[in-house]
Amino acid sequence: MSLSADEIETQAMDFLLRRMDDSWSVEDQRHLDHWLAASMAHRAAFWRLEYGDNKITRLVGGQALNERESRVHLWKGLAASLILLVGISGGYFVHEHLPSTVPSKSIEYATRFGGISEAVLPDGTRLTLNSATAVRFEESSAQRVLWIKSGEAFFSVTHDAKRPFVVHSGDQAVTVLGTKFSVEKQTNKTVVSVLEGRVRVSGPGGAVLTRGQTAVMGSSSSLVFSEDPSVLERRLSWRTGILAFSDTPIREAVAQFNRYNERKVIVGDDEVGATKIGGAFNLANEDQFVHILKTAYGVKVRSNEREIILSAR
Amino acid sequence: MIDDAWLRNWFMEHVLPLEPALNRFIKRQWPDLHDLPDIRQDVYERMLIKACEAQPANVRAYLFAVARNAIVDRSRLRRPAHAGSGFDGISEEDMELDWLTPERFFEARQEMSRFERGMEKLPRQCREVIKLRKIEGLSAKEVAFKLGVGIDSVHHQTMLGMRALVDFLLGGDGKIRRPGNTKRNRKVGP
Repeated sequence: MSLSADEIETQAMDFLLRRMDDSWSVEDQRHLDHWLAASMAHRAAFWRLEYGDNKITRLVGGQALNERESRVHLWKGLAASLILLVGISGGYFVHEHLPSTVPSKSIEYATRFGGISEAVLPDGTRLTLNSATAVRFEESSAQRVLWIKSGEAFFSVTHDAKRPFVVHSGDQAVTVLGTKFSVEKQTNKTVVSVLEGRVRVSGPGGAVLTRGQTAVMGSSSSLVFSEDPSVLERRLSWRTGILAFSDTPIREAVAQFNRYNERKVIVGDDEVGATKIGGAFNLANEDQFVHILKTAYGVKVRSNEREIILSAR
Repeated sequence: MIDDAWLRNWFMEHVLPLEPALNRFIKRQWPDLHDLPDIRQDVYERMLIKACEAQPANVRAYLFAVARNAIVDRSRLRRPAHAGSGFDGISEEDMELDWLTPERFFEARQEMSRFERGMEKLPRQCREVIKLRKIEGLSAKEVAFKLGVGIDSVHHQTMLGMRALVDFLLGGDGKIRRPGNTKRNRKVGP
């Protein structure tokens, strides 16, 4: 132990603030990486400030977390279906609901493209919503139900044996028996990954997934496989604003980055797409990612306002 | 082989949310508040080093055990400001009390009001600078231009404000700590 916490925190904050500016260079990043690697105390201080800064960004953003309560009213004698328009900045969802005998309360959460946000449901369950994600939550005395309309969410479900927590994604359903898992709705399939605990997924036989297992569920078939928990953590690192890769082909890394950035990166040829890379990147800093591909992997980069094109030569 | 991304995730997800409880724990055992950041840093450093070998099954319990050891080690180096208190050991009660407060799950609304309170605690100019940088997303240069102050002043104000805000959001008192004014700004350790 040499420097005081105050001094280390000053250094850490200095790095953090300068990194926010456009003038942050690859050289600066190297200095930061070097400083971080020098001591665990440096890492603790920096990650603590990043954590706090992420909270501030999220709270200040406001637009990233949108909570609306919609009340469906009972319309006596009306046989027709009721269409409720719920407006959320950036888009709207059409919610069709037949008049029911009991007014129900549902809450919608949505993130914009590129936004990541956390929410706490009324039952205490913690949700982390990835970019361009929309969900709806409803609870009753018998159960808790959440629909994923689009995107990906990570759940940390509070235990309530009397009220199972069920997540619907398209035609798939995930019943929660344990605690931490993610559900991602893609166009034709749903991907469920369990970090802790157990979940039961719909499908023939109703497979139960445990820690480290992932199910890719299509309409007619499912695939279940196991991964080392650290690999799974890496895949879910988006929750802290980081994309982490290890032996990952560029085309996959690029697909991930494109989920958070308007300016798309295009893989120009198969050779560059297959090149494997490793490292952890700030998912909001696409320029830095591309710069590292260029300098560390020799990738050729051409860019214009709308897109960035990568090629092997 | 633990990689950095994993470690960072683990730290942010399992350890940092416990900071309010950790702060309270340390304050009870070591009343001199000026040492709090150093003790906390010591604790976090030990936690990270340990996590590289093996992750504790019960992070909370392990965190308090590490904190207790860090404090005992520190007491061997020098006497605390309040010599009378002594260390009778950490009672089970102390640890139980922290379990009851669900500090980990701040409701979105609670977090927002805590954030607003944190902002209110800042000195006016500091708050202005933070608003322009974080809420309006202006760069340091743009803020300097808009407020008609030097860029160094902007850096300084941002630094002070952000540190106080982060402290407050993580469960601290949110007071501005000016560098060089901490009571024990000297090298620590053997």
